[in-house]
Amino acid sequence: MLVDLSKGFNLRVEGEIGKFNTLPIEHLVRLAENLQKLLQDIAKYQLEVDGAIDTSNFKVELAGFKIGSAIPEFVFTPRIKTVTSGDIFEQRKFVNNKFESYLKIANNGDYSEIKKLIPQAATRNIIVEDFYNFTTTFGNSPVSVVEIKRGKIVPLYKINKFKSEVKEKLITKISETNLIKEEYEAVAKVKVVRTGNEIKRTTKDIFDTKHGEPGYAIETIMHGKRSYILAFPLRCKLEKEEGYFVIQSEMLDIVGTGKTIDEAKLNFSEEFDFVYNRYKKLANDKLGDRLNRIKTMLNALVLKTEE
Amino acid sequence: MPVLDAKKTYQNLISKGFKAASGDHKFLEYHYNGKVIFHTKISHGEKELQDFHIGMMKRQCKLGKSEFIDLANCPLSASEYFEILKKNGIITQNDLEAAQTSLSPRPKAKKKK
Repeated sequence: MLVDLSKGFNLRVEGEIGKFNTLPIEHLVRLAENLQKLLQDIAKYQLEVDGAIDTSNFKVELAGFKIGSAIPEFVFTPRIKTVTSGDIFEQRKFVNNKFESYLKIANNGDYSEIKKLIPQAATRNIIVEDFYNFTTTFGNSPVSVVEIKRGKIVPLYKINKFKSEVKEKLITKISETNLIKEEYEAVAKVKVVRTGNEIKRTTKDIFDTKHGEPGYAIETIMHGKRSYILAFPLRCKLEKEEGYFVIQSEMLDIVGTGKTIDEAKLNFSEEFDFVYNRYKKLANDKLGDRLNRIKTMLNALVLKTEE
Repeated sequence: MPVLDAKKTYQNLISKGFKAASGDHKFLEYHYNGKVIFHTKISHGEKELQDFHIGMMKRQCKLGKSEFIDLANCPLSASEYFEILKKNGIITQNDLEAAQTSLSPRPKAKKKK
């Protein structure tokens, strides 16, 4: 990592604009605004983290100005706003790394590479627009990212010209549709990692509300033409494993799996039908200890069957 | 993604103590001491068992995925499998005691004088 926005990011502006070792205010303001918008949009659209994000933590401040043409220095704002969860420094590190990956592209000059870095059209459109504005802030003046080492200017990345026609090719037109806002509550399987007082939560799976909840309750079981009317809802575990769904009643030792929830439900119903009829048919002394107890529970559960 | 041959799995389960449930070859039952301990369902519709089939069978056979694959492919022997079922309480103490009782010789009936 050559660029570290937490310590300082130096941009050398040469040519017509920087020839007096100064920078016109409007250029400086535009540069700061473009840089800040790019960083905030990376945070807003690309940051994949647990917990909350406050984009004001990705603002930049002018930290210095050196001569040798004009070299303004920017840093992430030291005015950090704490968020309820999430590690701000990790978030900044992520944004910094993404920003540097774009600077590498600017250095080799092949901006079409951005497409590989951001395959999602909606996000790419925003970042490409921001990055284009950032790289073209100074028009045709040569711009590079530099490091000041023992008073010497060490070039890190050259900002090559980002042609507008390349930018247009990178932008994907997204047709506007009438998006329907849908608000509902979903039940999810969440991975919780606790480190000291900090808790990180990652959503592993969201179960469709149509199917209720991971604690899926069945009141009537249907298999073929047969229906089992239950005396009380049968609570089952619903989970996703390696790309397939599992519905399981641990109490009755019945399990159904399928590539979709509906397939798993069908499979579960078939199992229930087999178990109920098989245990009913077998005399108690033909069933093991465990199955005898399950048979008792099944008989209490099934109120009646309808054909 | 492990894939199991359905026919081979069926044959191997039969050799490990499973029997087809009353003529229905789809359902296999594990027997101990003449009693059904649990069952599993094997898909005959497909040549190979997919992940979701394996997911169901491993649960029904009370094994982890790798153990179930060993059971279906043979490395896990019938006696080792029996020990696992015993250890995990699937074959309960009552089942074991019932087996002991049925195996022990019956006391000879006294001859009437």
